[in-house]
Order: sequence, then structure tokens, then C-alpha cells
Amino acid sequence: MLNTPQTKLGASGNVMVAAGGIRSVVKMRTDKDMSNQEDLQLLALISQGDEKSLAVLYDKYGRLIYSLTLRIVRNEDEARELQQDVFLQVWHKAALFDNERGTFVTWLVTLAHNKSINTLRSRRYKKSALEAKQDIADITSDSTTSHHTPLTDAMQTDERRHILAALEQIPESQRKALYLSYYEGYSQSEIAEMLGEPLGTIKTRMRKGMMKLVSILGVE
Amino acid sequence: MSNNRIYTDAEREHIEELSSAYVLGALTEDEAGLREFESLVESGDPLLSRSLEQMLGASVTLAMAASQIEPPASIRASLLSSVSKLQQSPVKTPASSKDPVPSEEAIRLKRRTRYFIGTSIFSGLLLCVLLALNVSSTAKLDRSNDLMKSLLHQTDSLRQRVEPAIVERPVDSVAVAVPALTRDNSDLNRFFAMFGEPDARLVTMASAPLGTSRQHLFFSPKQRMVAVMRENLHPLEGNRSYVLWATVGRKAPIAIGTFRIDAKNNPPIFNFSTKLRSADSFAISIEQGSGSSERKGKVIFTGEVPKSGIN
Repeated sequence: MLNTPQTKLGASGNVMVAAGGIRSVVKMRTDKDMSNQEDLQLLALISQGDEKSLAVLYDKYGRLIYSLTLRIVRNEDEARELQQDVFLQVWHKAALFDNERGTFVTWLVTLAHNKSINTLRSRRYKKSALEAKQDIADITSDSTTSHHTPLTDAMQTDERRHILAALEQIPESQRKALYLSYYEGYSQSEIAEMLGEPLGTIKTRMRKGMMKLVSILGVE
Repeated sequence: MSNNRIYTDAEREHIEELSSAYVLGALTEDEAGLREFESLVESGDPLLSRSLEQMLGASVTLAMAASQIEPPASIRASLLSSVSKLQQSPVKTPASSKDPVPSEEAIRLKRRTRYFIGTSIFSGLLLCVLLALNVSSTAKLDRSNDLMKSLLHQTDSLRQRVEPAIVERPVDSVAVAVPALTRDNSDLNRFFAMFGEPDARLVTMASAPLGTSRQHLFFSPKQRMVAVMRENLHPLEGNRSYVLWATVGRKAPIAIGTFRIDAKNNPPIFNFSTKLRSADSFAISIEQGSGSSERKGKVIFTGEVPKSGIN
């Protein structure tokens, strides 16, 4: 046992996580390739009007999309509406999906994110600056890991745990810039103003944060 | 743009900054970075493409990092019910149209001829339309600030190209000049007639994949005509063309026509067959060469036909 790579790596907690991460990343890539092929087959059927295939895609990604939209808009009614809107878009646009521009899940998540951010921004016009500042305070104490309940913990997959671990490796200042834009819908200029930092600093933080994520997760 | 281009560290970082901000949704319409980013996308910058692909992949992980919550079962039921209803109400097509459907070759020939006619005077016409319709149409178009911005921008650029005699005429004279210009051209007459039709539609298309830019076209089912605005369509490098597509119901997209943009040309006015009268969405893609009947390139704009007309 002492000579197995796992035991040697186990001497350092961080390295052990990294080794587990590599295995996990390899598995994730393989799974994603297969998953995208399945998605493409389903999309082909949807474009021919197959409702069952839409139901299969919904069952596969419904939770991911709902969780994202709810996290961004923080309003169940709006999240419901967005959820339906996103999957209706899949129904209508299946024939136009361009696999060369990325995987289906990337397109789906991007679509959901875009719609959610638009909803959030249009609502934000009505909010006062005071409330906007409160958002920042919330985000500081509210990482994506702070809403855990026994139920949500049980629903976490290995993949998600790995992603959360990867996010933890990103410096807090960079992570905050990513969260403020991705989950809260603030532009670079708005983030710079709210945090009292130069715009260039925010741009750099976003770039470094995303590159770090790409590097840790081995995104291709 | 060559794939062998060597980037400096500063250039590489700048491109990574743009792509990360874009994917995070941190570039908004009023930021110069968005324009720069989209211009790089259109130019086919290889580093940007690579960086964008990576960032989009990373953004999926951000989505997965959100606490996972099961959606209410009612959403699924409602979605599938909506889809069933859509399936049960097939797209309306003219049941007994007397117009024969011409062959592909005939359409191509017709389109080519009309391309030359349409392109050469489209610039002047658009300005005339804007001036002649004056206040009433402006009020209708005001539904979209994006469109107004682009119209104003386009009008400025057109002023330098159209006949000086027309530009210098007062507005009420232009209203007289337009019919004179179009007297011998049925396409142009139909183009103008579009603006008086109750079923003429203004289609707003959003850029793919994030939908931050807008592109508009006028669609007249009655005149069987589509006029694409220039707006966010720019000259393409290399042997590439824009292709306009339409979808009808659940059927595969149908190519309406191919076009290029350069310093002199605006997009042409397209004519289409009767089966596309019930088109419910449009898309613009970038294709190699002059395109084909099957879409292979990137879709850069998509938009659905609104239910109500512009009039």
C-alpha cells in the first residue's frame, strides 16, 4: 500500500485532490463526449417534432438549468418562466443548433444564463443603489456553497464537488469578480465602481479567474 | 486571418479578457469591448475562437456550481403540454395558392438579377423610405431603440452615397421623387408597398450565442420579400458569404439567399417562394464560398417573426 501513487500523494492533501481531479477530469471529458453525442441525436429527433426526446433532454438538464436561473434571478416565479422559455427555445431552434460552435450543454447553459441575466438587469433598473450595495454584501457572504441543506448535499455529484473544489482554489478577489458578473449580472464597469477598483484590475481578475478555472478543470 | 499569426503576450491577454468578460456576461451594449469582441469573432480570429471555446466550457462549470435544486414537476408538464399544442396547430400555409413554385435554378437566376437591381439602389431607397415616411413610420420604428440607433447610423453613411440631388431635396419633394424612381421597377414598388401592409413584420434577431447584439430585417409575406438591414453585418474576410435562412414550423431551415457586404453594398432585397410566406423565424449564417442549400457555417443571428405587423 505504501508504494501506491494514492498513498504517496496522500502525504499532501492538496496533491491528493489534484490527482483525484485528474482522474475526475479524464472521466468528465469522456462522459461529456458521449453525452454530447446523445444530445445531438436527441436534437435531431426534436427537430423532427419528437416530443419524447424533448422530455428526455429536459430530464437530463432540467435541474441544472433551473438551479442556475433560480440562483441568478432568486425568484421562483421568474425561474419557472425562464425554465419553460429556455426549453421551448430548444424545441423551436433544435434544427439551427450548430455543433461546431460548442456542445449542446454549453449552448443550453449560455442561453439560460443570458435570459436570466437579462431578467435580472431589467429588474435591477428599478432597484436603488442601496439595494445594489446590499447585493455585494450578500455575495461576500454567499458563495455558491453556502446554501447547502441535507437534501442539496445529497444531490451533489462527484463532478460538482470537484468543481466546487476547483472554485475554492481561485483567489477570493478573482472569484468575487466571476460571481458578480456571472451570477449577479454586473458589467465590468459596474463591478469596478462598486468595488472601488480600477476597471483594468477587474478585467484582469476576470481573465485570471476564468483561466485558472480552465486550467484546473482541463477545459478543452 | 492567418492561423499562423503570432500574438504578443499583451494581445493574448487582451483577447482572453474580452472572451472571459463576454462569456461571463460582463460586456454590455454600451461598452466598446463588445464591439471589439464581435469584430474579432467576425474576422475569425483563431486565438479568440480557441479562448471563447475554453471560456464557454468553464462557464458550464460555473453553472454546475450553483446549488442544485429540483425544478417543480409542474414546469415539465406545462412545457410538454405547450409543445403538444404547438404540434396540434400546424403552421398555416396557403391552401390553394395559384402561384407555381419555381425551380431552384429559376429562383437562383431571378435572385441574381434582383440582387444587382436591389443592391445598387437599396442604399438610396432606404434613405428615401425613412424621409418619405417621415414622422409616422419613425414613431412605429421607435419600438426598438437598437433599431433607431442603427437606422440613424445607416442614414448617416448613406448620405454620402446616394444621389446628391435627392439628399438635397426637401422632404416633401422626396415623397414625390420616390415613386418616380420606382416607376419602372416592380421589386422596388413591392418594397415600398411593404410599409403600407398590415402584415409586414419587423424581425429583431439576436446574435448567437449570447444575444447581446441586434440585427433587423423587414419581412413581407404578401410581397414575398425580405429586406435585411446592414447594421451589424460587416465585410467578411476570405471566401465567405452571409446566408439568410428561414424556418417554417418544424421543417429544416431553407436558404433564402446569399449575400456579401462591402463598403459599397448593403444587403440585397430577397424574394422568396410562396412556401416561405408562413416563415416563423429567420437566421443569418456565415458560410464558405457562396453557401449551399444545407447550412454548414456558424449561425450569427436568429430571430422569430413577431405576431403583429409594423403597421
